[in-house]
Amino acid sequence: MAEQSDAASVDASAATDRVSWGRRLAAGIAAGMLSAILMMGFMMAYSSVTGAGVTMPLKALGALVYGVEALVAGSMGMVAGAGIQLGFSIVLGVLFALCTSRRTSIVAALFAGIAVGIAIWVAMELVVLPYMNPTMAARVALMPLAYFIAHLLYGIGLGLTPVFIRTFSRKRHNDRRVERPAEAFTI
Amino acid sequence: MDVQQNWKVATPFIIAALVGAALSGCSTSREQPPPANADANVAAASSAAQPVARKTKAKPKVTRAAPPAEASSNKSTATILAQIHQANLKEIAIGKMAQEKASTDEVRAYADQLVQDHTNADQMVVAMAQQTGARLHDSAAGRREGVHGKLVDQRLGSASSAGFDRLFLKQTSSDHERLIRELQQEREDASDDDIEALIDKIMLIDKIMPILEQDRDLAQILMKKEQA
Repeated sequence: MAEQSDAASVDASAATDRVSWGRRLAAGIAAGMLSAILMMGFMMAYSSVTGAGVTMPLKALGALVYGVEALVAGSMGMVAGAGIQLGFSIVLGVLFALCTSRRTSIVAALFAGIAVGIAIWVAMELVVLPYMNPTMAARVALMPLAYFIAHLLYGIGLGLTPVFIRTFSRKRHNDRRVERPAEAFTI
Repeated sequence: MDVQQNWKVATPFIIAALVGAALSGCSTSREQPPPANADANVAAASSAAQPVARKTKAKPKVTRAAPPAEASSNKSTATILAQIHQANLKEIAIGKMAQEKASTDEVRAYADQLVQDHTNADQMVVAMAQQTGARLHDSAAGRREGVHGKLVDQRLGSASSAGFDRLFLKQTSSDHERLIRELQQEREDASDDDIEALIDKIMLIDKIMPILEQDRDLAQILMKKEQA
């Protein structure tokens, strides 16, 4: 009897740990969007304060598509920049969500997220900016510390993925609770 | 015989003196230069250590001679800072004029970008000038740019809207080209006794140069579009 109850509790905990792919995907997208907003918001605010222009980070990212002409391409350059930032962040957020579960501690996830943010910063500084986007490299060189802090913020946003997973799975759990009394009633 | 005996007696002393001199030389070459009050100790040193004392006395002379070297490095850094500052002010002024007078959206966007880039670069230059104590306004380059700038302002001010774009792009392109050439030359010839000032100077040029090149490239792209 006791063994049966132990097995039942293990099954129950496993069931609560298990999060559907859809929920993970949603959590990853949410975390990716949050990290993109944190990063881009910080860079835009900093650029605005320093006189580089609030839209400079978006235009500089858009230069990956349009080259140096992104700086005078108006809204096209900015939309391209925002698309690159959001798309990359969402993909990375989903990948991050696939590696985490409901049980992942937030502190561990934050550390992992910040590590990912720093790794991206290193890759950007060493490979992407000098070889693929010199327009952005020139702008980033004027604000190196802000660019690093923006990547830390990005990492913090990614690190909040378990929070989104818990929120979404809690919502599902609550939905089931609402359904159960009705089932019992019909039985 | 007497001479030989004297040599035999004197040889250990000569070797001992040489070894002592060599050891004292090694120790002073590894140590940091003595502080200012070391002169008293040096004066009290024995005659065998006199070469060392000369060396230690020579150190303060080098540090006293340093100010002229520092002053020259500051002067050259100040000249570059003033040069870039004047160029920034000029481009900001022309850019602001173009924001109002440009006939196409692209040229207006370029003018916006020009103002933002040079405002940003100028903040860096002003910050560095404050650090090094360089004066930015009273330079010969500034006065020359001032006279030249007035002529440019007059020409741009009197230009019609269609002609303005062409003149503006041509002017900014040639201004950037000239500044890039001067800064490249300055970077190649950069040499300074004060290594810190030299690094600061090169880093400043390295940061500003790509932005100047991009602004020049943009002006040339837009000029080609205008011609087409």
